[in-house]
Amino acid sequence: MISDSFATTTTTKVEHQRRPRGHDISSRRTQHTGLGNDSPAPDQPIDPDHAEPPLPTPTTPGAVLNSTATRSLAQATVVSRAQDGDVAAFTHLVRSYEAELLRLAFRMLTDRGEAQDVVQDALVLAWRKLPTLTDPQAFHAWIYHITTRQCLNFLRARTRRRTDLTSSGEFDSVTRTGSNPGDRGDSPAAAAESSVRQTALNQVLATISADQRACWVLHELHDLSYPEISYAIGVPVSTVRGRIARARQQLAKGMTAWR
Amino acid sequence: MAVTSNSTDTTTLGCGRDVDDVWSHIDNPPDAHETTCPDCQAARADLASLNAATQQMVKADLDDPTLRIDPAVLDNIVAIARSEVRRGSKIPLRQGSEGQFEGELMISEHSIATVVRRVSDTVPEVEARRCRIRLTPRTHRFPGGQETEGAGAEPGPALGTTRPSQVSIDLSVTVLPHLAIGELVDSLRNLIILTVTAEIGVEVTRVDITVEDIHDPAEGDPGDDQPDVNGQGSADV
Repeated sequence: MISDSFATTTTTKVEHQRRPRGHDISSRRTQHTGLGNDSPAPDQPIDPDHAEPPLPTPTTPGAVLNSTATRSLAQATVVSRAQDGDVAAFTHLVRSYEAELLRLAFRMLTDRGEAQDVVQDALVLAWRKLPTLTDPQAFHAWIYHITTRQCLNFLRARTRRRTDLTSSGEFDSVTRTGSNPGDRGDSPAAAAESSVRQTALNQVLATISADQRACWVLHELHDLSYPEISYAIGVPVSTVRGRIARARQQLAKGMTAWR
Repeated sequence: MAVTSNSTDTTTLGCGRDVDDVWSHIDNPPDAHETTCPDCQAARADLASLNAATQQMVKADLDDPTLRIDPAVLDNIVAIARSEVRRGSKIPLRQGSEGQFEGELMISEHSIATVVRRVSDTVPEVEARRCRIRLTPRTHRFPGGQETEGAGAEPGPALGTTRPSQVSIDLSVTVLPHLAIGELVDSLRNLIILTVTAEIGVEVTRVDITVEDIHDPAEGDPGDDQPDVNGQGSADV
Protein backbone atom coordinates (compact mmCIF):
# COMPACT_ATOMS: atom_id res chain seq x y z
CA MET A 1 0.00 0.00 0.00
CA ILE A 2 2.76 2.36 0.91
CA SER A 3 4.84 1.53 -2.09
CA ASP A 4 1.89 2.04 -4.39
CA SER A 5 1.15 5.45 -3.06
CA PHE A 6 4.77 6.52 -3.31
CA ALA A 7 5.07 5.20 -6.82
CA THR A 8 2.03 6.92 -8.23
CA THR A 9 2.79 10.38 -6.94
CA THR A 10 6.47 10.38 -7.64
CA THR A 11 6.06 9.66 -11.29
CA THR A 12 3.56 12.42 -11.82
CA LYS A 13 4.58 15.10 -9.37
CA VAL A 14 8.30 15.06 -9.07
CA GLU A 15 9.05 17.91 -11.43
CA HIS A 16 6.33 20.14 -10.08
CA GLN A 17 7.44 19.59 -6.55
CA ARG A 18 11.13 20.00 -7.00
CA ARG A 19 11.00 23.28 -8.80
CA PRO A 20 9.06 25.44 -6.36
CA ARG A 21 11.76 24.67 -3.86
CA GLY A 22 13.94 27.24 -5.55
CA HIS A 23 11.44 29.89 -4.56
CA ASP A 24 11.20 28.51 -1.07
CA ILE A 25 14.91 28.82 -0.58
CA SER A 26 14.77 30.91 2.56
CA SER A 27 12.90 28.34 4.58
CA ARG A 28 14.98 25.55 3.14
CA ARG A 29 18.19 27.32 3.87
CA THR A 30 17.36 27.93 7.47
CA GLN A 31 16.84 24.21 7.76
CA HIS A 32 20.29 23.51 6.47
CA THR A 33 22.42 26.10 8.13
CA GLY A 34 22.70 24.04 11.28
CA LEU A 35 24.38 21.13 9.64
CA GLY A 36 26.41 18.68 11.60
CA ASN A 37 26.04 18.35 15.29
CA ASP A 38 23.42 20.88 16.20
CA SER A 39 20.43 19.00 14.95
CA PRO A 40 17.31 20.99 15.63
CA ALA A 41 15.93 20.38 19.05
CA PRO A 42 12.42 19.03 19.01
CA ASP A 43 10.10 21.94 19.32
CA GLN A 44 7.80 21.83 22.23
CA PRO A 45 5.46 24.71 21.64
CA ILE A 46 2.64 22.24 21.55
CA ASP A 47 0.10 22.78 24.24
CA PRO A 48 -2.47 20.01 24.25
CA ASP A 49 -4.90 21.99 26.38
CA HIS A 50 -4.69 25.05 24.25
CA ALA A 51 -6.95 24.26 21.36
CA GLU A 52 -6.85 27.29 19.14
CA PRO A 53 -8.51 27.45 15.77
CA PRO A 54 -5.96 26.67 13.10
CA LEU A 55 -4.12 29.60 11.63
CA PRO A 56 -3.81 29.75 7.86
CA THR A 57 -0.03 29.75 8.05
CA PRO A 58 1.21 28.70 11.48
CA THR A 59 4.83 29.71 11.78
CA THR A 60 6.59 27.03 13.65
CA PRO A 61 10.36 27.22 13.90
CA GLY A 62 11.88 23.95 12.88
CA ALA A 63 8.71 22.60 11.40
CA VAL A 64 9.19 20.63 8.25
CA LEU A 65 8.01 22.79 5.45
CA ASN A 66 9.15 20.79 2.53
CA SER A 67 6.88 17.88 1.93
CA THR A 68 7.32 15.79 -1.12
CA ALA A 69 5.42 12.58 -0.82
CA THR A 70 1.95 11.28 -1.01
CA ARG A 71 -0.27 12.35 1.83
CA SER A 72 2.04 15.36 2.05
CA LEU A 73 4.69 13.49 3.94
CA ALA A 74 7.43 15.87 4.98
CA GLN A 75 10.75 15.10 3.36
CA ALA A 76 12.32 14.51 6.76
CA THR A 77 9.68 11.83 7.34
CA VAL A 78 10.50 10.11 4.07
CA VAL A 79 14.21 10.33 4.90
CA SER A 80 13.61 8.89 8.38
CA ARG A 81 11.74 5.95 6.91
CA ALA A 82 14.46 5.32 4.36
CA GLN A 83 16.95 5.35 7.23
CA ASP A 84 14.93 2.56 8.80
CA GLY A 85 15.27 0.52 5.61
CA ASP A 86 11.96 1.43 3.98
CA VAL A 87 12.64 0.82 0.29
CA ALA A 88 9.49 2.64 -0.83
CA ALA A 89 10.65 5.77 0.96
CA PHE A 90 14.11 5.44 -0.57
CA THR A 91 12.54 4.96 -4.00
CA HIS A 92 10.68 8.20 -3.53
CA LEU A 93 13.91 10.01 -2.67
CA VAL A 94 15.63 8.51 -5.69
CA ARG A 95 12.88 9.70 -8.01
CA SER A 96 12.84 13.12 -6.38
CA TYR A 97 16.54 13.65 -6.78
CA GLU A 98 17.68 11.75 -9.85
CA ALA A 99 17.24 14.59 -12.33
CA GLU A 100 18.92 17.31 -10.31
CA LEU A 101 21.80 15.06 -9.31
CA LEU A 102 22.28 14.08 -12.94
CA ARG A 103 22.38 17.76 -13.91
CA LEU A 104 25.03 18.30 -11.26
CA ALA A 105 27.10 15.33 -12.38
CA PHE A 106 26.76 16.26 -16.02
CA ARG A 107 28.03 19.78 -15.40
CA MET A 108 30.89 18.37 -13.38
CA LEU A 109 31.87 15.59 -15.79
CA THR A 110 30.52 16.92 -19.13
CA ASP A 111 29.57 13.41 -20.19
CA ARG A 112 26.04 12.06 -19.81
CA GLY A 113 26.96 8.40 -19.59
CA GLU A 114 29.63 8.97 -16.97
CA ALA A 115 27.32 11.33 -15.11
CA GLN A 116 24.63 8.67 -14.95
CA ASP A 117 27.10 6.09 -13.64
CA VAL A 118 28.28 8.47 -10.96
CA VAL A 119 24.74 9.31 -9.86
CA GLN A 120 23.87 5.64 -9.64
CA ASP A 121 26.92 5.01 -7.47
CA ALA A 122 26.07 8.04 -5.35
CA LEU A 123 22.49 6.93 -4.73
CA VAL A 124 23.52 3.39 -3.84
CA LEU A 125 26.15 4.80 -1.52
CA ALA A 126 23.51 7.07 0.00
CA TRP A 127 21.31 4.06 0.72
CA ARG A 128 24.19 2.32 2.47
CA LYS A 129 25.16 5.37 4.48
CA LEU A 130 21.69 6.64 5.34
CA PRO A 131 21.80 5.23 8.87
CA THR A 132 24.77 7.51 9.58
CA LEU A 133 22.84 10.65 8.71
CA THR A 134 22.09 12.17 12.11
CA ASP A 135 19.67 14.86 11.04
CA PRO A 136 17.07 13.90 8.43
CA GLN A 137 16.50 17.60 7.72
CA ALA A 138 20.05 17.76 6.37
CA PHE A 139 19.35 15.17 3.67
CA HIS A 140 19.36 17.71 0.85
CA ALA A 141 22.87 18.98 1.56
CA TRP A 142 23.96 15.45 2.44
CA ILE A 143 22.94 13.89 -0.88
CA TYR A 144 24.69 16.76 -2.66
CA HIS A 145 27.73 16.09 -0.49
CA ILE A 146 27.82 12.44 -1.54
CA THR A 147 27.22 13.13 -5.22
CA THR A 148 29.73 15.98 -5.43
CA ARG A 149 32.37 13.87 -3.78
CA GLN A 150 31.69 11.03 -6.20
CA CYS A 151 32.08 13.48 -9.08
CA LEU A 152 35.37 14.85 -7.76
CA ASN A 153 36.70 11.34 -7.16
CA PHE A 154 35.69 10.37 -10.65
CA LEU A 155 37.44 13.40 -12.13
CA ARG A 156 40.63 12.61 -10.24
CA ALA A 157 40.57 9.06 -11.55
CA ARG A 158 39.82 10.31 -15.05
CA THR A 159 42.74 12.71 -14.90
CA ARG A 160 44.99 9.80 -14.06
CA ARG A 161 43.55 7.81 -16.95
CA ARG A 162 43.75 10.56 -19.52
CA THR A 163 46.93 12.38 -18.67
CA ASP A 164 48.20 12.05 -22.19
CA LEU A 165 44.95 12.27 -24.07
CA THR A 166 43.35 15.40 -25.35
CA SER A 167 39.92 16.22 -24.04
CA SER A 168 38.52 17.45 -27.33
CA GLY A 169 35.84 14.78 -27.24
CA GLU A 170 34.37 16.31 -24.12
CA PHE A 171 33.97 19.67 -25.73
CA ASP A 172 31.93 18.19 -28.55
CA SER A 173 29.46 16.73 -26.14
CA VAL A 174 29.33 19.92 -24.12
CA THR A 175 28.77 22.14 -27.12
CA ARG A 176 25.75 20.19 -28.17
CA THR A 177 24.07 20.84 -24.87
CA GLY A 178 23.58 24.51 -25.57
CA SER A 179 20.07 25.83 -25.49
CA ASN A 180 18.06 25.91 -28.64
CA PRO A 181 17.82 29.61 -29.26
CA GLY A 182 14.99 29.35 -31.75
CA ASP A 183 12.70 27.69 -29.26
CA ARG A 184 11.78 30.77 -27.32
CA GLY A 185 10.82 32.94 -30.27
CA ASP A 186 13.63 35.44 -29.72
CA SER A 187 14.63 37.70 -32.54
CA PRO A 188 17.29 36.12 -34.74
CA ALA A 189 19.96 38.51 -33.51
CA ALA A 190 19.12 37.99 -29.85
CA ALA A 191 18.89 34.26 -30.41
CA ALA A 192 22.30 34.23 -32.03
CA GLU A 193 23.76 36.28 -29.20
CA SER A 194 22.13 34.01 -26.67
CA SER A 195 23.40 30.93 -28.44
CA VAL A 196 26.95 32.22 -28.59
CA ARG A 197 26.86 33.13 -24.92
CA GLN A 198 25.51 29.73 -24.00
CA THR A 199 28.11 27.88 -26.02
CA ALA A 200 30.86 30.01 -24.54
CA LEU A 201 29.77 29.25 -20.99
CA ASN A 202 29.42 25.54 -21.75
CA GLN A 203 32.96 25.40 -22.99
CA VAL A 204 34.65 27.66 -20.50
CA LEU A 205 32.96 25.92 -17.57
CA ALA A 206 34.63 22.67 -18.61
CA THR A 207 38.06 24.30 -18.40
CA ILE A 208 38.07 25.71 -14.87
CA SER A 209 39.35 23.62 -11.99
CA ALA A 210 37.06 20.91 -10.67
CA ASP A 211 37.03 22.43 -7.19
CA GLN A 212 35.96 25.81 -8.49
CA ARG A 213 33.48 24.26 -10.87
CA ALA A 214 31.89 22.25 -8.09
CA CYS A 215 31.36 25.34 -5.93
CA TRP A 216 30.08 27.41 -8.82
CA VAL A 217 27.69 24.74 -10.11
CA LEU A 218 26.28 24.02 -6.65
CA HIS A 219 25.70 27.70 -6.00
CA GLU A 220 24.61 29.03 -9.37
CA LEU A 221 22.84 26.04 -10.88
CA HIS A 222 21.55 24.29 -7.74
CA ASP A 223 20.84 27.17 -5.37
CA LEU A 224 22.88 25.73 -2.53
CA SER A 225 23.89 28.23 0.13
CA TYR A 226 27.53 28.79 1.07
CA PRO A 227 27.14 26.75 4.30
CA GLU A 228 25.52 23.93 2.34
CA ILE A 229 28.37 23.95 -0.17
CA SER A 230 30.87 24.10 2.66
CA TYR A 231 29.29 20.93 4.02
CA ALA A 232 29.03 19.29 0.60
CA ILE A 233 32.67 19.89 -0.33
CA GLY A 234 34.17 19.75 3.14
CA VAL A 235 35.94 23.11 3.08
CA PRO A 236 35.31 26.28 5.11
CA VAL A 237 32.71 28.79 3.97
CA SER A 238 35.47 31.32 3.30
CA THR A 239 37.06 28.89 0.85
CA VAL A 240 33.72 28.35 -0.86
CA ARG A 241 33.28 32.09 -1.20
CA GLY A 242 36.76 32.48 -2.69
CA ARG A 243 36.31 29.63 -5.13
CA ILE A 244 32.99 30.96 -6.38
CA ALA A 245 34.43 34.45 -6.83
CA ARG A 246 37.41 33.05 -8.74
CA ALA A 247 35.14 30.82 -10.82
CA ARG A 248 32.99 33.81 -11.79
CA GLN A 249 36.04 35.78 -12.71
CA GLN A 250 37.49 32.94 -14.78
CA LEU A 251 34.19 32.27 -16.49
CA ALA A 252 33.54 35.92 -17.30
CA LYS A 253 37.07 36.34 -18.58
CA GLY A 254 36.93 33.08 -20.49
CA MET A 255 33.62 33.91 -22.14
CA THR A 256 34.94 37.27 -23.29
CA ALA A 257 38.06 35.67 -24.68
CA TRP A 258 36.10 32.88 -26.32
CA ARG A 259 34.05 35.20 -28.49
CA MET B 1 38.24 41.41 -17.92
CA ALA B 2 40.40 44.02 -16.23
CA VAL B 3 42.27 42.33 -13.47
CA THR B 4 45.40 43.48 -11.71
CA SER B 5 47.45 40.37 -11.96
CA ASN B 6 47.64 37.37 -14.22
CA SER B 7 47.32 35.10 -11.28
CA THR B 8 44.03 33.30 -11.05
CA ASP B 9 44.23 33.54 -7.30
CA THR B 10 43.22 37.14 -7.05
CA THR B 11 39.73 38.39 -7.58
CA THR B 12 40.64 42.05 -7.20
CA LEU B 13 40.03 44.42 -10.08
CA GLY B 14 42.52 47.07 -11.22
CA CYS B 15 40.67 49.70 -9.21
CA GLY B 16 40.96 47.66 -6.03
CA ARG B 17 37.40 46.38 -5.88
CA ASP B 18 36.69 42.70 -5.60
CA VAL B 19 34.80 40.77 -8.24
CA ASP B 20 32.57 39.48 -5.48
CA ASP B 21 31.52 43.04 -4.62
CA VAL B 22 30.70 43.83 -8.22
CA TRP B 23 28.73 40.61 -8.53
CA SER B 24 26.82 41.25 -5.33
CA HIS B 25 24.80 44.02 -6.96
CA ILE B 26 25.06 43.06 -10.61
CA ASP B 27 21.27 43.18 -10.86
CA ASN B 28 21.15 46.76 -9.59
CA PRO B 29 22.27 49.92 -11.39
CA PRO B 30 26.00 50.73 -11.02
CA ASP B 31 26.95 52.70 -7.94
CA ALA B 32 28.79 56.03 -8.04
CA HIS B 33 32.22 54.44 -8.32
CA GLU B 34 31.16 51.98 -10.97
CA THR B 35 29.66 54.61 -13.24
CA THR B 36 33.10 56.19 -13.64
CA CYS B 37 35.49 53.29 -13.16
CA PRO B 38 36.50 51.59 -16.41
CA ASP B 39 37.64 48.45 -14.56
CA CYS B 40 34.29 48.08 -12.87
CA GLN B 41 32.37 48.87 -16.04
CA ALA B 42 34.24 46.16 -17.93
CA ALA B 43 33.76 43.74 -15.09
CA ARG B 44 30.05 44.55 -14.88
CA ALA B 45 29.61 43.95 -18.60
CA ASP B 46 31.42 40.61 -18.41
CA LEU B 47 29.61 39.50 -15.30
CA ALA B 48 26.23 40.53 -16.71
CA SER B 49 26.92 38.37 -19.70
CA LEU B 50 27.90 35.48 -17.41
CA ASN B 51 24.77 36.07 -15.37
CA ALA B 52 22.56 35.83 -18.44
CA ALA B 53 24.36 32.73 -19.67
CA THR B 54 24.04 31.13 -16.24
CA GLN B 55 20.30 31.64 -16.17
CA GLN B 56 20.06 30.22 -19.68
CA MET B 57 22.07 27.21 -18.60
CA VAL B 58 19.77 26.51 -15.65
CA LYS B 59 16.74 26.62 -17.90
CA ALA B 60 18.34 24.63 -20.71
CA ASP B 61 19.43 21.86 -18.35
CA LEU B 62 16.01 21.74 -16.68
CA ASP B 63 14.30 21.47 -20.05
CA ASP B 64 16.76 18.95 -21.46
CA PRO B 65 14.83 15.66 -21.67
CA THR B 66 18.08 13.71 -21.97
CA LEU B 67 19.20 14.88 -18.54
CA ARG B 68 17.13 12.24 -16.79
CA ILE B 69 18.37 8.96 -15.43
CA ASP B 70 17.45 5.98 -17.57
CA PRO B 71 14.43 4.25 -15.94
CA ALA B 72 16.27 0.94 -16.12
CA VAL B 73 19.10 2.46 -14.09
CA LEU B 74 16.61 3.79 -11.55
CA ASP B 75 15.10 0.32 -11.28
CA ASN B 76 18.57 -1.06 -10.78
CA ILE B 77 19.29 1.37 -7.94
CA VAL B 78 16.09 0.38 -6.18
CA ALA B 79 16.80 -3.31 -6.79
CA ILE B 80 20.20 -2.95 -5.18
CA ALA B 81 18.60 -1.16 -2.22
CA ARG B 82 16.01 -3.89 -1.88
CA SER B 83 18.66 -6.60 -1.96
CA GLU B 84 20.52 -4.86 0.83
CA VAL B 85 17.61 -4.01 3.09
CA ARG B 86 18.70 -3.72 6.67
CA ARG B 87 16.25 -5.92 8.44
CA GLY B 88 17.42 -5.20 11.93
CA SER B 89 17.57 -7.79 14.61
CA LYS B 90 15.61 -11.02 14.50
CA ILE B 91 12.89 -11.37 17.04
CA PRO B 92 11.56 -14.80 18.04
CA LEU B 93 7.81 -15.11 17.89
CA ARG B 94 7.72 -17.10 21.12
CA GLN B 95 9.73 -17.14 24.29
CA GLY B 96 10.09 -19.78 26.95
CA SER B 97 9.06 -19.34 30.53
CA GLU B 98 12.56 -18.39 31.63
CA GLY B 99 12.89 -15.79 28.89
CA GLN B 100 14.93 -18.03 26.60
CA PHE B 101 14.08 -18.15 22.92
CA GLU B 102 12.32 -21.23 21.74
CA GLY B 103 11.30 -22.56 18.41
CA GLU B 104 12.54 -21.39 15.08
CA LEU B 105 9.94 -18.84 14.12
CA MET B 106 11.60 -15.47 13.94
CA ILE B 107 10.48 -12.14 12.57
CA SER B 108 12.67 -9.21 11.67
CA GLU B 109 12.51 -5.88 13.39
CA HIS B 110 12.05 -4.44 9.91
CA SER B 111 8.84 -6.42 9.32
CA ILE B 112 7.27 -5.31 12.56
CA ALA B 113 8.28 -1.70 11.89
CA THR B 114 6.58 -1.92 8.50
CA VAL B 115 3.33 -2.90 10.18
CA VAL B 116 3.73 -0.08 12.71
CA ARG B 117 4.26 2.49 9.96
CA ARG B 118 1.40 1.14 7.90
CA VAL B 119 -1.08 1.38 10.75
CA SER B 120 0.24 4.83 11.68
CA ASP B 121 -0.35 5.97 8.13
CA THR B 122 -4.05 5.41 8.63
CA VAL B 123 -4.04 8.27 11.14
CA PRO B 124 -4.04 11.40 8.97
CA GLU B 125 -2.76 13.71 11.70
CA VAL B 126 0.42 11.69 12.19
CA GLU B 127 3.55 10.99 10.18
CA ALA B 128 5.48 8.02 11.50
CA ARG B 129 9.23 8.37 11.24
CA ARG B 130 11.74 6.08 12.89
CA CYS B 131 10.70 2.89 14.54
CA ARG B 132 12.69 0.57 16.81
CA ILE B 133 11.50 -2.78 18.05
CA ARG B 134 13.14 -4.48 21.01
CA LEU B 135 12.56 -7.84 22.53
CA THR B 136 11.58 -7.40 26.15
CA PRO B 137 13.21 -9.96 28.43
CA ARG B 138 10.38 -11.87 30.02
CA THR B 139 10.44 -11.14 33.69
CA HIS B 140 7.83 -11.80 36.28
CA ARG B 141 6.80 -8.20 36.23
CA PHE B 142 5.60 -6.62 33.07
CA PRO B 143 5.88 -2.87 33.01
CA GLY B 144 2.81 -1.50 31.33
CA GLY B 145 1.53 -4.90 30.24
CA GLN B 146 -1.98 -3.81 29.46
CA GLU B 147 -3.01 -7.04 27.83
CA THR B 148 -1.63 -9.30 30.52
CA GLU B 149 -2.97 -7.94 33.74
CA GLY B 150 -2.79 -10.48 36.48
CA ALA B 151 -0.15 -12.46 34.64
CA GLY B 152 2.53 -10.08 35.75
CA ALA B 153 2.43 -11.10 39.35
CA GLU B 154 2.42 -14.81 38.70
CA PRO B 155 5.62 -16.81 38.79
CA GLY B 156 5.21 -17.74 35.13
CA PRO B 157 3.98 -20.90 33.46
CA ALA B 158 5.56 -24.29 33.88
CA LEU B 159 8.95 -25.02 32.44
CA GLY B 160 8.91 -26.03 28.82
CA THR B 161 5.90 -24.04 27.78
CA THR B 162 6.21 -20.99 25.59
CA ARG B 163 4.30 -17.80 25.26
CA PRO B 164 4.26 -15.06 22.67
CA SER B 165 7.36 -12.93 22.81
CA GLN B 166 7.11 -9.53 24.35
CA VAL B 167 8.36 -6.53 22.46
CA SER B 168 8.58 -2.86 23.12
CA ILE B 169 8.25 -0.30 20.35
CA ASP B 170 9.88 3.10 20.06
CA LEU B 171 8.28 5.28 17.45
CA SER B 172 9.02 8.87 16.53
CA VAL B 173 6.29 10.86 14.84
CA THR B 174 5.42 14.33 13.71
CA VAL B 175 1.90 15.62 14.08
CA LEU B 176 -0.22 18.39 12.66
CA PRO B 177 -0.30 21.55 14.74
CA HIS B 178 -3.11 22.45 17.11
CA LEU B 179 -4.01 18.95 18.14
CA ALA B 180 -4.58 17.36 21.51
CA ILE B 181 -1.32 15.47 21.48
CA GLY B 182 -2.12 13.27 24.47
CA GLU B 183 -5.31 11.85 23.03
CA LEU B 184 -3.79 11.46 19.61
CA VAL B 185 -0.82 9.55 20.96
CA ASP B 186 -3.03 7.35 23.13
CA SER B 187 -5.23 6.35 20.24
CA LEU B 188 -2.23 5.73 18.01
CA ARG B 189 -0.64 3.59 20.73
CA ASN B 190 -3.79 1.48 21.09
CA LEU B 191 -4.03 1.07 17.34
CA ILE B 192 -0.41 -0.11 17.16
CA ILE B 193 -0.86 -2.57 20.03
CA LEU B 194 -4.01 -4.04 18.53
CA THR B 195 -2.61 -4.37 15.05
CA VAL B 196 0.82 -5.74 15.93
CA THR B 197 -0.70 -8.22 18.35
CA ALA B 198 -3.23 -9.38 15.77
CA GLU B 199 -0.99 -9.48 12.72
CA ILE B 200 2.35 -10.55 14.16
CA GLY B 201 1.29 -12.49 17.20
CA VAL B 202 3.79 -11.00 19.62
CA GLU B 203 2.78 -9.22 22.76
CA VAL B 204 3.39 -5.48 22.83
CA THR B 205 4.34 -4.44 26.32
CA ARG B 206 5.28 -0.89 25.68
CA VAL B 207 4.90 1.73 22.94
CA ASP B 208 6.99 4.84 23.44
CA ILE B 209 5.87 7.52 21.03
CA THR B 210 8.07 10.58 20.68
CA VAL B 211 6.52 13.60 19.03
CA GLU B 212 9.70 15.06 17.59
CA ASP B 213 8.23 17.75 15.39
CA ILE B 214 5.05 19.18 14.05
CA HIS B 215 4.45 19.49 10.37
CA ASP B 216 2.53 22.16 8.62
CA PRO B 217 -0.23 21.01 6.29
CA ALA B 218 -0.39 24.39 4.54
CA GLU B 219 3.18 23.98 3.35
CA GLY B 220 2.81 20.30 2.72
CA ASP B 221 1.89 19.91 -0.89
CA PRO B 222 1.06 22.98 -2.93
CA GLY B 223 -0.94 20.94 -5.38
CA ASP B 224 -3.33 19.37 -2.92
CA ASP B 225 -6.57 20.65 -1.57
CA GLN B 226 -5.41 22.28 1.59
CA PRO B 227 -8.76 23.32 3.05
CA ASP B 228 -9.46 19.68 3.62
CA VAL B 229 -6.32 19.19 5.65
CA ASN B 230 -6.79 22.39 7.58
CA GLY B 231 -10.30 21.36 8.47
CA GLN B 232 -9.01 18.18 10.03
CA GLY B 233 -6.46 20.10 12.01
CA SER B 234 -9.20 21.88 13.91
CA ALA B 235 -11.17 18.78 14.68
CA ASP B 236 -10.89 17.06 18.00
CA VAL B 237 -8.95 13.85 17.82
